[in-house]
Amino acid sequence: MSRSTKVAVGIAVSATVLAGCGGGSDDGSAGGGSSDEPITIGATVSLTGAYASSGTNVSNGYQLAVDQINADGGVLGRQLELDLQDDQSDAAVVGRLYTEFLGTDEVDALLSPYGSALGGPAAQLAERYQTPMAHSQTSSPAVFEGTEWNVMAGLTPGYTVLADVPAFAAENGYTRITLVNNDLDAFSAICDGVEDGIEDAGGTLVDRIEYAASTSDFSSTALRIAEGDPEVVVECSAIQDSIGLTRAMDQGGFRPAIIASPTASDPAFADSLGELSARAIGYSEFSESLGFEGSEEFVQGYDEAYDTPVNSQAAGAYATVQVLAAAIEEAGSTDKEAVNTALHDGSFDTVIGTYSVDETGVQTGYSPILFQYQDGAQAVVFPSDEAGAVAAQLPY
Amino acid sequence: MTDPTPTTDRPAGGSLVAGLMSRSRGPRHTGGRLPSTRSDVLQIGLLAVLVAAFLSWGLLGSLSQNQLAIDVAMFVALAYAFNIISGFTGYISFGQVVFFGFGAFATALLIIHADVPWFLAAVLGGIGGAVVAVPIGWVMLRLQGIYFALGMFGLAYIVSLLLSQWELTGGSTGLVVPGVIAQKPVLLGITGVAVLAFAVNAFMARSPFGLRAMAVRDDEQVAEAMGVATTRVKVVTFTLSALMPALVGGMVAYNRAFIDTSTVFNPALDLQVIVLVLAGGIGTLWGPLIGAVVLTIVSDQLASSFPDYQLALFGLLIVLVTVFLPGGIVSLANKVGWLRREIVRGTTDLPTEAELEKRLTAAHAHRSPADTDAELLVCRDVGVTFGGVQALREVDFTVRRGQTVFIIGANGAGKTTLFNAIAGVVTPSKGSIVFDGQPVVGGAPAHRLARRGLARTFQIPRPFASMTVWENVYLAALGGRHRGQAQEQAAWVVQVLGLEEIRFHASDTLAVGHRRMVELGRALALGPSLILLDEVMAGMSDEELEVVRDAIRRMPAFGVDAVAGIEHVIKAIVDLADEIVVMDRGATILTGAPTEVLRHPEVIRAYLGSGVGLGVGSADVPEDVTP
Amino acid sequence: MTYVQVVLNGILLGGFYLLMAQGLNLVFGVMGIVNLAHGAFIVLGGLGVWSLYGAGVNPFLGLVVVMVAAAALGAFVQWAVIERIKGTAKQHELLTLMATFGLSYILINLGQQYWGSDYRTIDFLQSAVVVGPLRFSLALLVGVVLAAVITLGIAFWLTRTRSGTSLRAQAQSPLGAGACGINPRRLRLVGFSVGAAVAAAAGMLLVMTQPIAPQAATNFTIVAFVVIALGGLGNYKGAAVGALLVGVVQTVSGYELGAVVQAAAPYLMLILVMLFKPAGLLSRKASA
Repeated sequence: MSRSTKVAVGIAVSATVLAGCGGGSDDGSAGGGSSDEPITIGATVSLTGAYASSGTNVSNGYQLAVDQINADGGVLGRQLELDLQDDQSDAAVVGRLYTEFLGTDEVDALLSPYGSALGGPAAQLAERYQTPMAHSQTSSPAVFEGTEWNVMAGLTPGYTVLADVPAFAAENGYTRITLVNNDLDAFSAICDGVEDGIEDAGGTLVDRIEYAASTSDFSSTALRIAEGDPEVVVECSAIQDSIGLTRAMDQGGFRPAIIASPTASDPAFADSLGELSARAIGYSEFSESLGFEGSEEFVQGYDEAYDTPVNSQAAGAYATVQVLAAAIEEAGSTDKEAVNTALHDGSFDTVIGTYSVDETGVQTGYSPILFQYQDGAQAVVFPSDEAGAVAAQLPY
Repeated sequence: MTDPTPTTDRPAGGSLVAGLMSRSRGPRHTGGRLPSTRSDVLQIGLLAVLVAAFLSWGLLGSLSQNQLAIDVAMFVALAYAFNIISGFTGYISFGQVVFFGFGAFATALLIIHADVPWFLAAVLGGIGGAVVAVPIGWVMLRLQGIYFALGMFGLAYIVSLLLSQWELTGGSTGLVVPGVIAQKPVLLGITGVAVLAFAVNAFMARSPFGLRAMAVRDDEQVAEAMGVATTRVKVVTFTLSALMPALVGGMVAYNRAFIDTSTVFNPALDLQVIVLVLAGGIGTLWGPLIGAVVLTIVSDQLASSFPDYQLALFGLLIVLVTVFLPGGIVSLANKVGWLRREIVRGTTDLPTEAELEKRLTAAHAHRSPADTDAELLVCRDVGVTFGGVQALREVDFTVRRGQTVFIIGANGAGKTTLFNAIAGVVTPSKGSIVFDGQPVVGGAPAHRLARRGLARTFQIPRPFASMTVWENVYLAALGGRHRGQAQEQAAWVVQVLGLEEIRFHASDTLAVGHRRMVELGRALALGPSLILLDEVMAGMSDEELEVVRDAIRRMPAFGVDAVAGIEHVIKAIVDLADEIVVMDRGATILTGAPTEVLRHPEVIRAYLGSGVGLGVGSADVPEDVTP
Repeated sequence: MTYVQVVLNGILLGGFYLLMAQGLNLVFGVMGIVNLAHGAFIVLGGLGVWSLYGAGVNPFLGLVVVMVAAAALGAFVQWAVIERIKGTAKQHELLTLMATFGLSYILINLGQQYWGSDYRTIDFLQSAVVVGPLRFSLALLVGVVLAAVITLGIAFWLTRTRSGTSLRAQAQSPLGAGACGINPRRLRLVGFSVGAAVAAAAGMLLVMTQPIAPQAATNFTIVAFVVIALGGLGNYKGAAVGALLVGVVQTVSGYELGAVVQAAAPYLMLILVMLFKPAGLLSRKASA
């Protein structure tokens, strides 16, 4: 985190703590509070522990959105107050912090922690305390099943992210596709989506290979892939695995026409693979060239405030705050029921597209675009009629 | 009756647990339970006060305090569970996580699919965990030390992996556990489990069962020889230590409302619990509580005050505790007089010998004359090989009831090996050994032999390092043939061997002579019919020798039918032995009455060697040669 | 032919695991120290190489630098912490476990503060070595060679040199060794430093082959323990067997069988070995 962010977070936290100690927290469920009091939002990010690599990005995104919205006059004329805590990637800590948000501080709304392992318990707490929670980093529909107070706001379901790859491949004349996924549900879901996409696009599934999430050696997997001689290889895996698999294929002397990975948008992908990342396909919810609402402001503000470049995790976090703010506006008050209805029924423009969810809260509005690394930059290549799309450079 | 002398705080060697205990003044005797110098009422009262304070802090404070209290109580329960198997029984376990996860999923599934109320589901999950622990423990506890830890760790990983593949358990995403906001009831539930865990620990610290567990911890092989059914003890403690995590896991699952395999089977949990217990004081009664509470709260404080460096600071704290307080925080209390720990104790006043003998008459009854001369121990043709070395060659060795037989021979003759074979420690490659009508099977649990009436001492004394002399003897009495009168038996042995003055001394601070006395005492306390004495007289002063010889003479009155011994102190055994067997290089070379044997030239050659100035080699030895 | 390739890949992978486990084996087997911070040494060594590579330093040179740095850090840890832990052998094992656990927390936290939590790898030696129809990862090949050199080096040191033999002697009997005029403290310093240096070397290889971050340290400690447990704790020949076995089983099961088997295989093997040959595959003693 840059210094200014630390200061900002510090001030926000101290302000919230003081507000809490002063006992003046808003009683959301009984109806809107006074127009001078800030709207409190509780959130945790993983600054330490297993998910620490996401922590900075997400907290930056949240903070920037809050700052910018406040600078624009806030929501319903009130300032947003973000209480941001470190959950240490630990479900027990999540339990404590969200219990504090909900039971002690009585915040008006919540943002989620990272992933399903932490998002799941947090979502259940939101349910039990009947407070709306907008998830920025949870993409697993299983977390939302049966819930009434949770919405997926910062991501699309894993199922959709690479589902367009077969269509894209068909457009460029390639139909033989092999899918590789690790055995975690999140990544299986991505490949499930691609598999269904193959049918629709009239392609052929050459092979679907599953490997253990804990593996670090991909030589065997690469061998199996090469045996099928597919034209398109889709790697549904975490970034370490994607990097390993791509390298293993290269070392095995096999080069498909198209390589796609859901983690290609992570800067570490390009940094680590160097040349091998050229012409690889990835997806992104966010791209400046797409010109979604507020993108310019977001990118400019982000570059000014932080030293890391803009990335889709931050964009998702930013969008989530946008959604929450918009929902409160639409509800006309911080009444939890009203805000929740707005979140479920409403449709809002964000930096990653148009937000809209189904009855269970699963995102249906965002549609990811596919990009390709061309000359070291991410160029939108699909859908080809999107603003800013260019022709793909193939083969890989 | 003189007061036993207080000993030093830190004995020279001894186990970790012994290291932090110190001995002190006279104890009170309270029936069959091992008594305490500190008032029970006081300790229970203290516990009640602590629990009440804790609950009021958790229930009446803010909700996040409630949640923190749940975490603290969870760690306390886990810490005590760990203490049972690892502190008292000495098997360092990485198994908390296995049963925690099992309990969590079992409870979750019961709630989801069978609509069972959460508390009942958690209890069922706990019982299920305990049931599953029995076969797991029975298999895994064959491993020692770090291998056991590694095995359990591997098991945790595999169970986690399998469950993450299974639809029913939510795959790798996890399961939603339906319910309502229930922090207060859950806190009460978990605190209840923590109190239960504390109670089990108290039971371990004060009961004969716990004493047996500690014997397993100190020296498993010797414990077996002292009649402790080690496998059963280990499995029971393992099961007990699985019950609590399973219960707690179920309650936590309900509290968190969402569980997945990576969270509930997280191996970091095991490590955290180990650190808590070590920091508090492993193997003690209050240590785990102190460690769990202090470290959990410190960790929480560090998280809020120094979020960036909380891990590093916590790590530093752990390192400091390891270096400066290896016995844990409780060891600090040892430095303050009146807080000094007491360990297991014995009777303050020993009844007189005469009195005891009266009570023990039935047990010490002589055998009827019809049984004398019957063969009690028969070894035929016994051969033992170690690798390429033949330690015993076709040895025949018989002991009759009422006999006292001594084996002599040069070092390396195979004497102790023979005893090991008789005791079932070593498996003969050929031949047979029959004790009291039943064959001795090498490798079978040795405690059965002890209970049948075979006792042995070890050549190098191996007292249980963390126990006092009294406890050593008492433990043996608990495993022997007169278990029903263990207190009396132990008290009597202590009197007979003159150990009253040192009976509350730590056994690892004893001089060699005393150690051998304790060895003998343990063997006697088993109330055996055959006693094997392995060089029990070595290193003793003349007075001590007299005590031992006296004890050997009186053995028949103690219900001991036969004595077999290995000795080098020839002069001491000549008038005691009915028969002497001479061994040399793995075989018996001569058997006979003492006077005969000791004059035999073969013996003299084997023992002393033929050489200048020894005046040997001729059959006519001067009459006045005193043995 | 593919099977040959798969098995050979497994052997290479085994070499990689061996390098990761060697340092731990030395420290535990010969010195009785359960070093839970081993993974942290590996990861920090790798990240050190990454930083140097970013600054334009050739990773082989970087290797030397991090090995020296790790040795120094190891010596410091041994002197400041481990030497001061008192107790009998059994106590010592448990206490060093606890102390190194704390140490791992410290190292991981400091690592995260300095390098952040992102996963990093370097793009060096990524090409393939082609031998007829067989292809090997150059980085992995280098790693195996490195592992072999280090293993042989350590074996030589422990058996043929005075200091190595002295280290083994004093591990078996500190009193006896002291009576022979061996300075145990200095030896232990050397032992732990070498262990740490070897771990850093493994880190260098690691950062070439896969992305690493400070928080991943514990995983590597675990893998290293599994490998040496299979071969027999402290048995350096056994460690080679254990590592090769794990490597080959992983590649073969990854090729033939499913994901679950591939993940569970090392731990299943561990449990089986623990049950039937707890002193390791190369030991002669079967279980009690």
